[in-house]
Amino acid sequence: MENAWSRFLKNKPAMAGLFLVTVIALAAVFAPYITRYQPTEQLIWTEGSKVQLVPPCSRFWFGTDIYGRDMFSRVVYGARASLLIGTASTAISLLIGITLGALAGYYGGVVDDIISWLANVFFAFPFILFVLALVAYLPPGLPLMYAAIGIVNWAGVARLVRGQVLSVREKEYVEAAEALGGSGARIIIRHILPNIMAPVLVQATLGMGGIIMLESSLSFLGFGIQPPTPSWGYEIAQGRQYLLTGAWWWSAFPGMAIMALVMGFNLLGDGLRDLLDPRNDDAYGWWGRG
Amino acid sequence: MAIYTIKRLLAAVPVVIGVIAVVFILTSIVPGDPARLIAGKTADPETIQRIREELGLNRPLWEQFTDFFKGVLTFDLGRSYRNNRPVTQVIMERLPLTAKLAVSSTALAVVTGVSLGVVSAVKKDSMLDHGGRVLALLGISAPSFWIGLMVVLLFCVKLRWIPGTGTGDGGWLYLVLPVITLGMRPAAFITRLTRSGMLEVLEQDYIQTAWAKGLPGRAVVLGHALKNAMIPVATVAGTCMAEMMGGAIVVEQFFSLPGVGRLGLEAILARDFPVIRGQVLLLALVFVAVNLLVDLTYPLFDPRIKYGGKRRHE
Amino acid sequence: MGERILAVRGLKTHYYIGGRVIKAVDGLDFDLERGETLGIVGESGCGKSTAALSVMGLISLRAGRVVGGQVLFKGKSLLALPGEEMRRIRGSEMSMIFQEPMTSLNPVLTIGRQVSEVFMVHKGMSRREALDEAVKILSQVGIPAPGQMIREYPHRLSGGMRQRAMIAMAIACGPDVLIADEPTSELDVTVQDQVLRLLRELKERIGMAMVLITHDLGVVAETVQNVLVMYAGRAVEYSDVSGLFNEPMHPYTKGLIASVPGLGKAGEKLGGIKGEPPSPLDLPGGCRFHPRCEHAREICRIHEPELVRVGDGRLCACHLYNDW
Repeated sequence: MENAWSRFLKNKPAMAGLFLVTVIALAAVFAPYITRYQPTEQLIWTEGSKVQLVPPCSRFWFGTDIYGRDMFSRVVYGARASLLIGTASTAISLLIGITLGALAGYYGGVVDDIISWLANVFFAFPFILFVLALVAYLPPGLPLMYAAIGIVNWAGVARLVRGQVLSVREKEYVEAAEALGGSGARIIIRHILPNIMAPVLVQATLGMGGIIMLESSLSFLGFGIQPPTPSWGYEIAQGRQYLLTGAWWWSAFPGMAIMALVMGFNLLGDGLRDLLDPRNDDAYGWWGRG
Repeated sequence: MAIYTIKRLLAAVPVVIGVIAVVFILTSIVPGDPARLIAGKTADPETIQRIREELGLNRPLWEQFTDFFKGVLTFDLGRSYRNNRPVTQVIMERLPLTAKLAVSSTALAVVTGVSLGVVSAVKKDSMLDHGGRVLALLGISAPSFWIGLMVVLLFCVKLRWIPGTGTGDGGWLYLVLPVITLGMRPAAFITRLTRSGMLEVLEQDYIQTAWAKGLPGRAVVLGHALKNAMIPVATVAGTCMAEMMGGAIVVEQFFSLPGVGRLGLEAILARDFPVIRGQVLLLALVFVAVNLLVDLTYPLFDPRIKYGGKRRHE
Repeated sequence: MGERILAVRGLKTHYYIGGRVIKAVDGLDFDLERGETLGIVGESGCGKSTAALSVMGLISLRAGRVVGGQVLFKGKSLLALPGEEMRRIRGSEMSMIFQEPMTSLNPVLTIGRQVSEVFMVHKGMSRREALDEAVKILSQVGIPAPGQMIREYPHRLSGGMRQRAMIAMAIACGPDVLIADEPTSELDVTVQDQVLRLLRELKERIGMAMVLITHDLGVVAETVQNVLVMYAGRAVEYSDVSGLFNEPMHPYTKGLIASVPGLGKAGEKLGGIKGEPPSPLDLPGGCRFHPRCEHAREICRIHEPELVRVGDGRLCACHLYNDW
């Protein structure tokens, strides 16, 4: 393990990814301490039109939007939304996916048939449409969005966990536990899951990038976090027409923020895979949705 | 092959039924009454009740479901709540544009992705390789609307080559930017996939044999190595085409293209449930069909694979 | 003495892996005459295959580099040759077959394609002509029903048939030199004999010289005329085959022969060599064999012995014979 850890430290792309994710996460957590203005503070009411669409300068690092809001502040606070949705939705998809995947892999038979069928149904389902519909019809609120995105992603986790459980359950320690008369749930939790967490962690990290991108797409379409709470996708949609006429900063900085965070998770996930799961090649991990 | 295809199609039936059930349940439990929406805000209760009866909304859910299911079997997906036209007709009108978009984006992604990936692998660790990898990383990490914005900025604002939005007379010129936008992420992904696949293949014994035979580099790389690295690319190209058929919502919205993605968005906003159901059904079918097609192409790339996806070793 | 067709002088090939230098071949000399069969023997890791790939100009495929020495083929210095000219020699005037018939053929291309492209590349034939030639050459190497075989993929062939197909590609252009790297070690014993017999026949028919690389002294005994024994990247002994088996000189050769039952002189104990071959990352000073040698003396620890003439056409690199 010592050796693996030092390999991770030497993996420059992975360290770059860790750096990006850490910096953005810290900025999100300590947002009030590193920003000068509230993200929703519209300075035009106090300072008039001279604070409208100000290009990046020493006072407004990322410029201002048409309402005189500080873009730096909005971008920093926007990280909160992205990270919150990323982690919460990942947690939900892991919870559902690990549970169902482990049940399918461990019990096999009809249980496996039903769960695999359900997973295939979700694979065949058009994802964005599904999330859009959920978000559009159910009462607005963030937990709902976490759930919607989590539900979209569980099938991939379940498929991975099922395969892993199938390969692990033939191992001696599982057979020994069974011979000693352990219950199914106990064996899964105590003996099987700890041994398959590495690939799950890798997939979850790579999946974070995809979820963040999906969230930004939803916000871009106006289905995500409701304004005035800042969210990167929404900012880009708002600043879009100004981008084309010269006020590039309104859209550009949120866009770069999305790219940086998604890239961070992708690089980190890649590095973790090299570290934890070297057998797996890098074929499918990065295929996020967005 | 025919038997395998039939088997696969039969195996897809429960999945499609599941998709229909999920979308049906979803569209039935949503709060809000479509009849009220159709009738308009000023309608009196009798009118609304009449519309409810016309649409069959007053009947038990189970009956509505079996009706819908029977309809599916006879290609009758009901009528749009919005304009009372048959759903199949509404969708079919929109399909060609999205299909054009998906097919050309996938083609673009495969061509650029495979070429860049091959160059990157052959010139491993050169500046070209590093540059290509950074580009691929950027391409994968950028959301499609952001790429779209950059593409518009470059081609319409800076270079002024191409009009920004709209289908105009439906000409191909208007599809150039959406296709680039939509193809960028898959292209980046395929670049990466091709590179890692090629690097693995180029280490194989049979590549050494090919060099030992005195083949020129082109023949070794394109004639001997590439075909061996193509299976994951085929899989991803298929998946992303299937997804584009349904997931091009953002790009269609961005470029104001009236494809099925936009249709879905409009239907969701208008609670036009028959259209939503029809569209989900269509996309699930496309997904199943594309996956089957991809599987059927595997033996073209690797003769050891028999239909059924299993590799035979002797 | 025939015409010398291949001469290797002071060949040094190193691998660079993770910042470390592996001296796989470190000063190798040998000659090959037209029509001769030379065996190169040694334990795995002694640099036999590396030497072969260096001669073929293929060492860059393995992250290696020839850092010194000369390879003269028909008077041309191969190491100085432009890549394109070297490519034209490979597979036509000088060709090579490999150990693993299972993995050395491209699984996704037909046998016909893989054989015929040699003709297309080196003889400028059209696809049709080349396929006709492929059928002929496949029948020459004893593949039954070659007309159908050209449409088959490698996984449909047995190991022996695959190796025959490999041989067909290698001899397609009638090379002057064929390098066979462990051509039979992955095959069943009965098939081994067939393939070796085929190689001998073809050698006679085409009049090519052959370098047979193997760790199997039994194969050497029945196939080659002269033997080069390699140890840790260098030649330690060179002899005609009967001299080698009847009167091995270098202690390493003695150990090798003694470790094979039925090959050594009757009555000699079945010995073998104590210890492991040295790591190419950390070669011992002096004679590379001294840590494992029962005759090792002080000088063996300090000075590396030269390969010197020790009798009629025989060479040996050992201080035991230097003192004469």
